[in-house]
Amino acid sequence: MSSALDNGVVAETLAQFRTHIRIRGDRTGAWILNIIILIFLFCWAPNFFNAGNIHAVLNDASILGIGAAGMTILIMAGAFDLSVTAIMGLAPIVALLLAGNLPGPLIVLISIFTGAVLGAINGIIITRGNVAPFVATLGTLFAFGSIGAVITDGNAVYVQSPFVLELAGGKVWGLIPYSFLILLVVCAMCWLILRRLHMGRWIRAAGSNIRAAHVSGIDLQWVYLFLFVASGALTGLAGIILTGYLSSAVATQAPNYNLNAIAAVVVGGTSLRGGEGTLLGTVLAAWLFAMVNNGLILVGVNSYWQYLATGVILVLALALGMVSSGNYFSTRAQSRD
Amino acid sequence: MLKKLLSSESAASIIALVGVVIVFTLINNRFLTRLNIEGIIVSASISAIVGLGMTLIIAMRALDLSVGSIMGFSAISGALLLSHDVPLAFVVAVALAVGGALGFINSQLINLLRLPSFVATLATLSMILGGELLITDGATVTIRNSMYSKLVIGRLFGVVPWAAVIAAVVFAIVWIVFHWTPFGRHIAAIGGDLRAAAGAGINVKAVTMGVFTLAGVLAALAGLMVAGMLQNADSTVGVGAELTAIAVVVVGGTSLMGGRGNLIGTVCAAFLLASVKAGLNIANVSSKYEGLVFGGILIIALMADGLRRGARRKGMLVV
Repeated sequence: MSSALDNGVVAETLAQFRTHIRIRGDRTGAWILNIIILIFLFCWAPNFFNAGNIHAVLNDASILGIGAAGMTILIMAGAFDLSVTAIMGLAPIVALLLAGNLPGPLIVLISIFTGAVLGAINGIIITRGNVAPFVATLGTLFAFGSIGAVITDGNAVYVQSPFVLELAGGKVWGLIPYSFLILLVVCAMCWLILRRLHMGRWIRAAGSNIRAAHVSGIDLQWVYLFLFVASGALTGLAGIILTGYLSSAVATQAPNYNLNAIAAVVVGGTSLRGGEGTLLGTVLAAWLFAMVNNGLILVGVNSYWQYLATGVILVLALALGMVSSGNYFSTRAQSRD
Repeated sequence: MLKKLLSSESAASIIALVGVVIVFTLINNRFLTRLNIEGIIVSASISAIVGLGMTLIIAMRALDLSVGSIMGFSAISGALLLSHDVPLAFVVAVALAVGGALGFINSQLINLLRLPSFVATLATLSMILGGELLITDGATVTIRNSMYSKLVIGRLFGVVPWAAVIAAVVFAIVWIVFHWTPFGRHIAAIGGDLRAAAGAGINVKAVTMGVFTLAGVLAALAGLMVAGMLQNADSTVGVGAELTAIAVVVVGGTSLMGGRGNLIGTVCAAFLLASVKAGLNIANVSSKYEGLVFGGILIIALMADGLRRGARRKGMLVV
């Protein structure tokens, strides 16, 4: 067994590990803010730590985190998916309309499948039509959102299946929602793709230098098609969990999910320049946003402060990440996209 | 002449605009009535004003996601000042200054904290919206000043809506700034290649400050016009306007890659969007289809453009 770990592999793994440590220093912002806010909550809102409350926060964080995990991989490849907001509504609506009375797991599968199909539409427009992902998914954001509103006539579709309701409501050990376990599985799969499959190397290559990736023979069309299908499928999954949480599906049920997911990815320490990213950072940031929104309610301030808090977190996390990684003081950080 | 027009970058939006007008006129001949055309002009003027600011930003290879929130914030500050009987000219000046100040804050987040514009304005999008809600407590501020709404939907010489006059003035100013001044050339230079521009001695921070402040002022102007049209202002003014503005700019033929800005295309695309909305309304189609039609036009325009370019670089993707 140890023969498999010959010296070359070990050296390569160690080298990889070092580069990861260097690049992933950006997570600092998310860590520091998480710790500060936890201390703050411990002092001023001790009921934050009730099992019921933690369950709710974990659930919010998971719904954001599942979509944001997909967005992390996309941003690592230098792409965006703005249409996730619309897919969050449309995929569960289609699933409930087609299979509302069928067994729960089937509803979830159809929602994931619908998300994947919508993602494939994005992917085909981008790869076959040669359109930049940002604007292509901006177009499908309008289009998918409109389709969702049209097929439901703007009304809510109610959930009958107890299985779907349990996705967000059910808990393990009275604390952890199933949605969080799903998030862990999703992250494990994304990690496998990124670190253990060829696809992960292609994704990072495409994100750091797309011309070089093209010249070195990577099938970029396949990579981006895969990415958008994956992002769509994950969004379909997050959408059906949110639907279970709200016990009904509306086309506009996740307003600003796209921007929130991008915010989580960025606060987590993934650079918008592409090439590298951190799933753990994204999950930390999703938890941070959910915790702050919940904490503000517990402290008893007006819920409108949430919007201010979101912006402040974004700025603080990035500034902290930059200062800690030394990027702020280096001249190399002057490129701003 | 026609050939030159077809090969220009605004060709897609002009063709789509003409096509949409013809289709809706055939569907319902009420499309070309005076009332409907005026509605289109007012609505297109407002989105063109936001879009022109966004065109400059995108030409600099940046994005401003906060314009929607700036629209709402300036509309609310204007409406609040009006409800305290402040003179109209002063109200307009203050609201525009507020927009400019918010744009200036954006630019300083980018310059001083070195945040990418996307992230900096994503943060201010959220913060300004929070500010709007805290100021109004979620309520709607009614505007009772009749003079104010006339400034938007009233007509100059009884013919041209004032909104169109304002938009024309804004277009002229932005055109002159972008095409005829060193500042405008610097915007395009920074968008084309930031390092080269900085190396050539362009003051990148000053240009960034100027462009974002200008975009903030223009967004504030559009917000004031929306409030004048609605006769009230609340935090829903401008929600989602940033993405619509980006879509308008892109349909107008400006690439997100930066370096170039197509001001005429942006205005055409604003008219296209407004015509689609008005046309669906007149054809008795639910407004729920608006997104499908506009999203479809956006994708088709981009794919037509992408396929034209794709012949040259097969397999390479634009990301």
